[in-house]
Amino acid sequence: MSSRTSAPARGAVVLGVVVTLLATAFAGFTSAAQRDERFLASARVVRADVQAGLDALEAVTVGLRNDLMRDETVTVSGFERAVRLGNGEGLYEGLSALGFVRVVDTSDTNRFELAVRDELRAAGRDAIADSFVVHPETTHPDRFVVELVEPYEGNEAAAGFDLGTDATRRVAVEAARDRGEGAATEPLVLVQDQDLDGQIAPRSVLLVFPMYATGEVPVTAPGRRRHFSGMVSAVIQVRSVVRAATDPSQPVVVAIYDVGETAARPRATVTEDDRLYRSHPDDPRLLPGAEDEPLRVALDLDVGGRRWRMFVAAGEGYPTSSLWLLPLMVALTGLSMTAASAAALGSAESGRRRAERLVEARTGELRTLLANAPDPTVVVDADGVITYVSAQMEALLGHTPEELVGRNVDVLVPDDVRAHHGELRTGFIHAAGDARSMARTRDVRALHRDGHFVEVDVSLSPLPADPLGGVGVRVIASLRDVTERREAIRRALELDDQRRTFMRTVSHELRTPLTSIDGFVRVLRLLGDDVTSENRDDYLERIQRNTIGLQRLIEDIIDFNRMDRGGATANPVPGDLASVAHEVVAQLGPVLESHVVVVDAPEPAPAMLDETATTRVLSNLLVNAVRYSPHGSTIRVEVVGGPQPSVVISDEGPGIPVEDRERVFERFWRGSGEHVLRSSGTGIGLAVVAELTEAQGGTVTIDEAPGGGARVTVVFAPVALDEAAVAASRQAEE
Amino acid sequence: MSKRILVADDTEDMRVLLRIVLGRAAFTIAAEATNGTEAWAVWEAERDEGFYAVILDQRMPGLTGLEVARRILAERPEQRVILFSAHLDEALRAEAEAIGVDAIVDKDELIGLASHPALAA
Repeated sequence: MSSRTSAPARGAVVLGVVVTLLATAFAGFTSAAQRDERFLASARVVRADVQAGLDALEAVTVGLRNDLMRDETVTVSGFERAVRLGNGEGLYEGLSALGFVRVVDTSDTNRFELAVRDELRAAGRDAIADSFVVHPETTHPDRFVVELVEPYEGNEAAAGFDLGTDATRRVAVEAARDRGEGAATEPLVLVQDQDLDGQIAPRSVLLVFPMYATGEVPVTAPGRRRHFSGMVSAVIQVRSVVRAATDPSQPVVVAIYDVGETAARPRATVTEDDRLYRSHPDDPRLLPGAEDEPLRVALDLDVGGRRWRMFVAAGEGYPTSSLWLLPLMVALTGLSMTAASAAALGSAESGRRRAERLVEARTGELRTLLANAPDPTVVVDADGVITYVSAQMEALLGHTPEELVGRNVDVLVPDDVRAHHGELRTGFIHAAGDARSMARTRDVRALHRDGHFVEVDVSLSPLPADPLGGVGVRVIASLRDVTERREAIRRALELDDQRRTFMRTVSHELRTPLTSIDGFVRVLRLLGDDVTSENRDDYLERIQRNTIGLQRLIEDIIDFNRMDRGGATANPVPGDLASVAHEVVAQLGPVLESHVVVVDAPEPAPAMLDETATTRVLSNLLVNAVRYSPHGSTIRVEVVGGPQPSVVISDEGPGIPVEDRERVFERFWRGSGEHVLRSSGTGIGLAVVAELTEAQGGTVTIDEAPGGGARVTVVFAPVALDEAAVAASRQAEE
Repeated sequence: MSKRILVADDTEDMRVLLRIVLGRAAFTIAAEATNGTEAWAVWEAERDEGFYAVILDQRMPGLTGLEVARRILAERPEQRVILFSAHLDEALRAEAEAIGVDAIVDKDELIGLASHPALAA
């Protein structure tokens, strides 16, 4: 910023830009502007992707934290296992390391060291155990000791390190502890620089997530302080997140710096002119890229409660332009603007005409940018009246700009918030003060024209009063639809949760039949000839039944893996349902012995079926009936032919409540109530039934059998006439 | 007089195995329970006659073996209790010892249960 330019002159430019922006229609754009626009679009894409990548890493780390925290007796081997599991699933790509940190009383350091060494030896990590020493010395009464880092290789120095001895990290840890949320340690020096790989060894950026002895995050801050027990720390490899996001056909160079806590008032967030921008205080090193006519922009990211500024510059091969759009774009993406390029004006007096020209030119550009910004933008005056709406609003909330301008912004606010929305707005305007502050509100619901809610993040920036007659500070709000992103994260976490549940259940369920088999084999050897033939048969039959149980578990594991990879395939051909049903009942033999199984399949029932898949479907249903109905009761298997060939399996168990009859086909859903406690299984049996039935073109439903038990009906596709003829002729040939 | 034993396990196979193994020694399976709640009810109902030993599976519906043991030992600290589990972890072992359980036996060692020191006179 030139010292010759007076503050009022700068103010005039800003106001002029904004006022003209809002008052004038866009007059056309040049091809240079189009290039710039394209660059900005790719910069925004990179930012959105990097933010989404970081959000996802944050979410998986929180997932790991929750898992460990819920486990009362969390150990290094538990941590190790969890990390290995996650790694196997590719969950932690983008993290260079994960750490397990424990809160220790400093006076307890020696005892803690010995205990950790024992734990590590028990986990087979003798090499780490031998060198595990808590370091360095501290005068604090508590320590935050890194117990284990995965991978250990390359991070040896971290094991035993007390994060609390580093002042900035202690601050971050304590902030995380008190808030109960993740926090990033500062400072981030330089995370990514494509051209100067390896020249600078940045201090690693840790995200720390607190754990509490209560198994969940306590509600009050004193509770959080009292029960704070440890942390999961994640070392972010922003480099890989950025690389993944960069499109090779639109080369851009990206550098990221930490610029402060999100909650704190941001520093000057936009550079003042192009020349100054190259020596931005947050960007101490020149960005590689086109030197003469740089295309660059600063965009912000939220990471663990801190703000990271991302500088994006056009990479080699990117078309360049002489237009200075970029600082202005930043203003529009929600950051406040300090001044336009007043340096170009010379003195305020002689520059008047040039200023007017500049304002006019920029107005057009801004208009284009606003109109093309993917996030809908709305400007609201001090009374809450909407004065500007970008066209994108219609796609998000169903209103056209014409419908909204002149109405109160409350029309976009859900009923339950409307009452105090005015207060919120006033509060923001007061806090705005120097018109440089901005706020970001996450997880807000906006009201769509047709009455449903849309989940959005809202960025707010104050805008000076309209000099052509407005009173009071206005607010620019930019809305972003986050439904999809949130849904994606939720799904990823849910899937991860399902995998863990399945692994846990399976490892327990495998033991039960194995223990029985082992026990009866040993008993038979122990008894030798000292056993009646009747007893011997009984024991052998038990061994066989458990062997079948094991086989079924292994099939469940195979099914689970297949479902995880994206579903079943089946190849339905004309076949006979009746003979498959008889076959299945015969195969299951000993498993069904505890019940009376009645098969009612008087005649062949032709249907389109895949024999392997149908066998799985029927045997899963039969095993379920055995599991959930009392010993000695009857299980009926009816096979019906005709235009709707089907198999109906009913039992005399407690049945399935109406409200659960669809959910039972979800993975891992095992219902509630006493009968479930007595059952075993991995919880994917019915999901497999649904999936394999659908893959064969059939349907499966559950209702109530006469007498109250569960009745499952599997309907298959009938054999088309010409296919029946083909099958018949094939049979005749054979 | 034969030594009366109460056995609680939710899998029938395990109860059969215990019956074989203990029956060969000088023990009588005087009562069997298929879950923790039942085990506690049986023990209480027959407290006058009493049991020489109680053998509890850890993982059962209703009350866990440890929970049943805690109730029994609160009433009768001298009662012999053996906890039986398919997977032993240290925390479980420590807790069981703390409340006075006589032995914790891995299901793999079931065959030698009759000669376990905890069942010796």
